[in-house]
Amino acid sequence: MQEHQKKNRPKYLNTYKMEPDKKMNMFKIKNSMQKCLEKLCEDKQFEEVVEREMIRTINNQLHNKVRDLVPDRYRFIVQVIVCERNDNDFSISSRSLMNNDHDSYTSVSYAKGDIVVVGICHVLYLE
Amino acid sequence: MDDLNENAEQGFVIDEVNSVIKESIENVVGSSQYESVKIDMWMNSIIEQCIENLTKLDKPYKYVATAVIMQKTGAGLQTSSSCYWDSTTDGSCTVRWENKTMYCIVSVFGLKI
Repeated sequence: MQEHQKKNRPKYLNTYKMEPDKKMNMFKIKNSMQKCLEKLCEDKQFEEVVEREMIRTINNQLHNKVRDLVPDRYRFIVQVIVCERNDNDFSISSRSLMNNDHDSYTSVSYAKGDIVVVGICHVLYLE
Repeated sequence: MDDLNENAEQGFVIDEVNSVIKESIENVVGSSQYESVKIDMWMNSIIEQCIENLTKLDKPYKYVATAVIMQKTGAGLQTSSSCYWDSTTDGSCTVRWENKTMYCIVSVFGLKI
């Protein structure tokens, strides 16, 4: 199937551009992700989120919001982490090997009651 | 010229990346119990080692690595990720590791240049 996909893959015309037209404005994405998270996770308990596999819905919605905001020739990765607060410690860290002039990332978090939701978005230019 | 490039061993090989990640985790926290004072240092070391070893593979890829460490106290944790990329050239690998006192989840995403 991969070979079939390779054959049918659209060939991008060479733009002869060394850089993207403009660097991505992560502020818009961050705001949009924050609003989406708050709307989805307001007043939810951890068990409810796990039972309904809400993490998929959260991820899909964030993915769609980011896709609308990201311009052409960019790829992105959206990660969602949901954790229960039970007197525990947890730590999230992320590092990337990318071109700082073209690529960027943002993260949002929402914590209320016994649930903590963290969303991370990396946006990378397709060369 | 394009064909030449595609035929070289340039794919995202999941097994290779998997072993790189496992090695990094085990080198840093392999035999340790959870200690909150050391957590910053562990996180930095794990991620740095992952990225360093991935660059040593010498492939034309951009990498994103994310690590989550959680103390075992009976709390639940779920993670999910979605990507908008070219599935023929890009890939990801997630390693879940645990010991008696903590869980460690490391995800690596590779995007071809």
